[in-house]
Amino acid sequence: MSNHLPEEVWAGIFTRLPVKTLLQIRSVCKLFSSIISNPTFISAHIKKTINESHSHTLFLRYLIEKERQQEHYLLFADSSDHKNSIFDEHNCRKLDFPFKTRSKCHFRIVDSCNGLICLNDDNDFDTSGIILWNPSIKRFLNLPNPRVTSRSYGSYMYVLGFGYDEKNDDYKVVRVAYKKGRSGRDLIPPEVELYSLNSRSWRSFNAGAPPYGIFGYTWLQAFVNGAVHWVGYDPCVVKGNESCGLIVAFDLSDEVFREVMLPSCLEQHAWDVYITVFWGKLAVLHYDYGAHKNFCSVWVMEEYGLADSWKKLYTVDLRGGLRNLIGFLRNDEVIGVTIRGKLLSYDLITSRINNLRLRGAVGGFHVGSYMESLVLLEAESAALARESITSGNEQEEEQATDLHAVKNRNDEFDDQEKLESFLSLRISEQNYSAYLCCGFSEQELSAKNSEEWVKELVPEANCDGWEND
Amino acid sequence: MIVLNSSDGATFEVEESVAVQSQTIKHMIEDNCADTSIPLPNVNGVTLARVLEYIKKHAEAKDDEEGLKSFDAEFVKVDQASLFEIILAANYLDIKGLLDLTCQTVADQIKDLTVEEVRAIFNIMNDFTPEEEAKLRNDHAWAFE
Repeated sequence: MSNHLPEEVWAGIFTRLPVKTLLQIRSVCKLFSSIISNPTFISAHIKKTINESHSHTLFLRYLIEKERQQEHYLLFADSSDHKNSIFDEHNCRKLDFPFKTRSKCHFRIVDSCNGLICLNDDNDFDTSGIILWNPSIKRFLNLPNPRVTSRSYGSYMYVLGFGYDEKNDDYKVVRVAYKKGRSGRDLIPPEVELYSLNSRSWRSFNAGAPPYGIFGYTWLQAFVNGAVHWVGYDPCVVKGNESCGLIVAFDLSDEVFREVMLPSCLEQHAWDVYITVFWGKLAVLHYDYGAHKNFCSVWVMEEYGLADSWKKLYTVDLRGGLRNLIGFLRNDEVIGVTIRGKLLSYDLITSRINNLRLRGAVGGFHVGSYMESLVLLEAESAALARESITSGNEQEEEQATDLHAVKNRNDEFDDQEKLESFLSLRISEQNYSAYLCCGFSEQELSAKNSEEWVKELVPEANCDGWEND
Repeated sequence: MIVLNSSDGATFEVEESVAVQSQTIKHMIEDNCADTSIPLPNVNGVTLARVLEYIKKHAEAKDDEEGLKSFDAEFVKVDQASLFEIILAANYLDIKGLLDLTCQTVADQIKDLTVEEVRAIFNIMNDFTPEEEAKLRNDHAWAFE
């Protein structure tokens, strides 16, 4: 009887299954279990998922103001729809966040890759605070201590990088630690340590440490072309009054540091440069706050490694109230955060704004890519994590923070808040949609003469050029 | 024209341009093993006939996407044993499109089944001890809800 398919055929069938089904059929028989936990299968499943998926799923981490040590995650589909918000109920769902920070506020998200999210809990305690988390199968791994800690090293600043080493089918975390010198400057060269998931251990290598500093405060990296990238500076090259800025890269397979040049006009402004990835290409955002201007420019390196190929693709005028950009969407859109902590989608071509109807603490937003995978299948269960990962002593009350509650808060803005939002947006065309963005309802608009209303609330407002629709 | 011999002695004639959808047959022809006929000891006559039906249709209606889609949907409406025979043949003959189609069919079936149903329908013996099976289930209890 040939109901027995060869192992590689079963594996081929399994690569087409979602992770939840795979977790179930592990218990069908020993053959199925061994196929599914095989690392070769796990990476083949990832490749298949990436190649076959027609839509793009992202996650949003946000914080609610006045809540302490609580983080919220939403999964949403990147499906542009100008009428609705990507955070509407039908397009997104809550993701359970099972960890408790030991710091005063929240985890640092290093990056996400192949279904793994790398988190860091900044604290002075003995554990590394680094967690690799696979939310799709509810598994996590606490990384062991690296060598460099404040106990062994004194005061220092460190930068983390996370990504996938394709050559060795391994996930790696790189930790670049700069000791603080007497003047408070970061001492170069730094101490470098590398964690490999396959070996479950840290390895130091300082022979290859980069002769550069890295701007660690942004907590941002870009993982592209198999390397982790950060914005840094060369202390030996000074342009004007500033060290020359550049991009410091660490190749995860070759395990070497390299440098990539920034656009030349940004080399003296590296402090305002934020590194990111734009549809698979290395990119930077430059925030330019001048006397009469506030811009964010999006630069993309069209050909990796070729300094001449930097191209400024878009310029976003921030004077409408946008504070920063946090994630690119399809159809030339980008998610932006206003100075009041509201999320908007901004069309890079038409400048059209769409209110995403979600609000949170201004500095606490993070957007990253999400996918289902089986990496960390054999690691600890995060389903029970709440008890085991907390600092142990407290049993804090959880606030009821479901989506419904968040949305209700968005509706509670009073007239003054709405008006301040509107003034800060100051969109001259299409005032009608601007009003709607700020929470005015259609009834309010038709009931009142908007110019009168504005004058009522803010007597000194300048209403020149506004039209009443 | 290429002549193919199944495991149970049946003979089939098929045009070379159609037959090379099978990478296995293609390599045999390139290696000059196809002088008189190609023996396929791993595929029986009934299954080989079905496979040839598939590759003939996909050769002649190459650009008719809609037509091929409905052909494929009908093609896989066979009993479990036959489906497995076709998978094994597609695997041995290295016909990517047919392997993709049949594997996707089985995957879609599995998605809707419980563990017990998978065992029953695919005739698989449970070789776990009750303790081993319980541990596997408890490891990811949430996935079974």
